Amino acid sequence: MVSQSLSVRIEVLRQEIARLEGGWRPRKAQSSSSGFRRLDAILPKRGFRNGTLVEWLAEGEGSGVATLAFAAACRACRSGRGLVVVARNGEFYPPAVAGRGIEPAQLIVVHPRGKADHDWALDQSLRSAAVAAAVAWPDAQGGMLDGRTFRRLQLAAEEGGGLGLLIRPAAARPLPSWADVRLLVEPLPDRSPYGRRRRWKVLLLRCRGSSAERLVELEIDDETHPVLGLR
Amino acid sequence: MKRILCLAFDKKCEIEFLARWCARFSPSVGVEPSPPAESLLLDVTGVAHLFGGEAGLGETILRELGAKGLRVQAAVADTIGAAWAVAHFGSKEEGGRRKAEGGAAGCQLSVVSCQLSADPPRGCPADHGPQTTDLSSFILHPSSFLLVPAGQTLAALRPLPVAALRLPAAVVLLLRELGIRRIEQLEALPRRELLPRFGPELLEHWDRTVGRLDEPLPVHRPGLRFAAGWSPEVPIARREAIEAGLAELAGRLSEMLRRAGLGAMQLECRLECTVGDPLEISVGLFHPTAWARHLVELLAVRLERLRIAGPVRHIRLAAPATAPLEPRQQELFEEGGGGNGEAERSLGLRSWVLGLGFQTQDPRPETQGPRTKTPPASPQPLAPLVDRLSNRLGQDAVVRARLIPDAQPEMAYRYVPLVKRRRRLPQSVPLLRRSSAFHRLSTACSKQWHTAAPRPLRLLATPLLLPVGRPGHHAKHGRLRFSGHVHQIAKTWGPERIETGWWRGQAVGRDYYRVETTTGRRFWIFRNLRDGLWFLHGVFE
Repeated sequence: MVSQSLSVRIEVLRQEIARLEGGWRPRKAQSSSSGFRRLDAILPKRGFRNGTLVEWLAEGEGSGVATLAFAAACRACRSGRGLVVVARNGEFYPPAVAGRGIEPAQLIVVHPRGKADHDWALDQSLRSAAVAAAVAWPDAQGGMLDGRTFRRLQLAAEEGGGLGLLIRPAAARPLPSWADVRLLVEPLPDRSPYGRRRRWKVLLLRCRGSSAERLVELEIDDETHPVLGLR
Repeated sequence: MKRILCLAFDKKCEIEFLARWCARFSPSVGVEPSPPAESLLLDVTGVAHLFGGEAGLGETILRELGAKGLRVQAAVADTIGAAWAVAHFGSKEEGGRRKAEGGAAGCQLSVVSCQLSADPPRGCPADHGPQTTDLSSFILHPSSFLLVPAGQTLAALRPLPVAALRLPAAVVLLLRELGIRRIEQLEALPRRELLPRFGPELLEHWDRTVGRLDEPLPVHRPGLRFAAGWSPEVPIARREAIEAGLAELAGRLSEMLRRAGLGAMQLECRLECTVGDPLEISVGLFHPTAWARHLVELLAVRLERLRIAGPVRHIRLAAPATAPLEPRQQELFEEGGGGNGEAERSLGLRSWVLGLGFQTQDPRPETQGPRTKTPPASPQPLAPLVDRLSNRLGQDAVVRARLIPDAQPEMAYRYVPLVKRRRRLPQSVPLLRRSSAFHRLSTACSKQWHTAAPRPLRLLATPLLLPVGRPGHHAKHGRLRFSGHVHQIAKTWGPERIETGWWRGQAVGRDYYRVETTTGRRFWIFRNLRDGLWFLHGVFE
């Protein structure tokens, strides 16, 4: 008896959660492809929902997580709207984004001077409807992204309808998140003879409207354009 | 023979306003920017008889300016230079000399009217006799009018100091060091010695002043001025009140701009406080706008970072630089319906076309064609965002990347501030497109933008020296220490040899390798060909 009432209660709660989540929908519910068919396949909307945040978690340097985030950003920019990169300490290298299906004039690079300016610039960029995607390293500017700022960014993305791509260290994993999708990225060593492929193991930690963790393996071709080549 | 009237004001004043006001005396009015303060130049050739001769003209001008509370030194002469020189230096010199000589006659300057209070046409007999030209009083009552009769320019100039030739300070100083203080001393020097010793400027100014060279009048074309001011009844200190005042002014300004079909490219706000210096805020805009709310937002962001010393007694808002808004046929059922929003949305559309579609000299017509011709389905204004970001973070912090065809990785791009570039080229798009230099640049960028070997997303500001076990050891087989981690290199691709920079005097020879660690992380390292040292330059993030 007890177990049955418990399961009923759980069901009620699940419905309640679904109802609450259902009420929380960005104005434009279209989605934009992640740039990877395999990743799209495990996302409920076959891509990232516009007007949401996506967290890319990765451990250490050189993991290639930003490459994946930029692939998604460049896909989102196919609409012709702008891409804002809130760069960290001036080390963003624009030629790397060249040739990924984005026009030079679409790219706006912002160099904020401190955490407050960084958060503000990201907020403003997400809030603007002219921005298709904003890429940022919110934890690089001294201190982790705090919950209130995170929530504000999420609301900003919802208002602007663009995609907020936040590249974060894996240490952020236990922290609460306002992102629609959380991905943990881990690089895999290359196995091909010519080394043209780059491979990752991507763990879908959380996704609104989807079941528990899913693992997917992605790869891109370094020589051809990642976005065009990988399908 | 030309006749030029110069008005020298004793303090900085609204010169553009006065220039417009002076249009009642002469069809061509110029503004001479030489220090100490700007002066006005009026071409009065063939005009003077309308005012009863040059003397009458001078009297009229002095009287009317006096009624405005302005003190002015005026002079009429044959050339711009002479009029300027006599207006600025004539009265003092003349006054001093006359005083020394005890009012001896025989000078070339005819003093027509010296005091406004003793103004004959008004017929108000003042304390001083109407025509008693007590020249020593010039210094006390500085409004004066000096007339250099036609053809006597040189004679009038001789006693004046050399600075009257509008020379650069360095030249004046040099002349003074040589003991040459007056123009007559300069005149006595052999002409061919002047050029090598004092540079071409001296001769040029000298020739222009005496009329050997023609000098065009820098005619002031009175553009429309967009400014609004507000003085509260009592000085206000609360920020909300100040912002409300600003919003009111911005509304007025935007209305003025809209009527003229212009948008502000620059915004200047001046807050005069009861204590301390006035606060000045200057905002550059990415794109011309006449949207009051946007203007207020930009100002408010700057205002909240300023410390206002005391209550504000006057606020002035001006748009010193403007550019035309392009007309657009309005939609019948515009979303939102607000008057301001409409105009701005039309701007947004245009900024879209010009801001994001102009670099389209691209060899892929099938993908590029439609974007330039028809803007995306729901164009949104990017300009307000760029304005807001540039305004708070600084113009250099909000940039667009321009790729440079340079083999050296760190030289292969340049950041161009978005707002600054717009301000330098305030014309509308078609002009930008037509400009050949711009066209060349944009085509160069576009071509380059699509060709590149794999490049890392993160390029270290300065390459990091990699410690290598023994000399000559090949780092690409070794370990790589970066930000606290040691990575074992498993694979390498390369080298990509880059030898360049010799032509700018900083020859660079590097062999770049892409390396992958055992955990699949990728880095970009290079060996310096000069000394064989290894560096980490980029991270394939």
